[in-house]
Amino acid sequence: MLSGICFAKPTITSFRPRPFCRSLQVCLKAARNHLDWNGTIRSNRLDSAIPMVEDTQFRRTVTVNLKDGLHLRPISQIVETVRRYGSPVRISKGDLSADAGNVLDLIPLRIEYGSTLILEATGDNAAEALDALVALFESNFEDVASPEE
Amino acid sequence: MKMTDFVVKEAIVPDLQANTKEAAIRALVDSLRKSGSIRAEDEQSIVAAILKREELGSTGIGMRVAVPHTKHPSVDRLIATIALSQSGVDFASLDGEDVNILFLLVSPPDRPGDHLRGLENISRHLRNQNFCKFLRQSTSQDAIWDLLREADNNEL
Repeated sequence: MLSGICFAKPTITSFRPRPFCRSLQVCLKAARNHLDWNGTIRSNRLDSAIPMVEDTQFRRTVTVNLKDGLHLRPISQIVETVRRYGSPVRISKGDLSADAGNVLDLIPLRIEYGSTLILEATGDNAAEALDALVALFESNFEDVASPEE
Repeated sequence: MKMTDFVVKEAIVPDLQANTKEAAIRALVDSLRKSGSIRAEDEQSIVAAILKREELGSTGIGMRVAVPHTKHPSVDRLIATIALSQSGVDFASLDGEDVNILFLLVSPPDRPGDHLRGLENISRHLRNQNFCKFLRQSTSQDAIWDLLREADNNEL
């Protein structure tokens, strides 16, 4: 026991787990590593060792294969797809991140050929939205492969 | 790149009367012709190219903004004009809203980088709520031009 603090035996249900949330699994593992069977804190690194549970439910990585990068037409297709599913999606390129449902947010990312992007979605239709977006990238945005007129 | 580098002041339309996409595009290209930025013989070809681009997907990008554009061999540098519409123009926008800010761009085909940088530049300023608010309040070419200069100098 540390400083008189004692916890009840930790149980999975107390954490309200959500499927496919890797951050939560990390959190649980970290918590178990720092509590003994009686729930007593083993170390004083509990707060710093447990990362915050992010609200990201799904994450995918894609590579841009459009020769001219993401100009306005493919960007519009991304925005249309995001809006169709109604789940918030963010696209990250390096340290930069943008709302994938907003053209004005995406254009300044300057997404060029060969860029690696991380797509993160939350909400009820997050998986379906990401599947549709990944399909867009994998099809090379189908009819927009040629340079924009 | 600054907006005042490629926006043609004399072609700015502070009170656009057109209320359809095609009429708006025609009015903006006509304004570029009147300013001397494009030749009269190229006007119809530029209009046709912009309308063809719109058939591929609307450039009404949401937030009541449209950025109709084309590449055209008749220009040797990126040029653009701006129009403001009080009544709104049906642009078949992504969000279904009529647009009241239009940026029309024409760029040379052999300089795609200029075209993209122009769009990036415009997008960056349109994300600034002050810029959009003051732009919508502007009623003259001079007022819009002053606002562009302030935005270029990061004074908003």
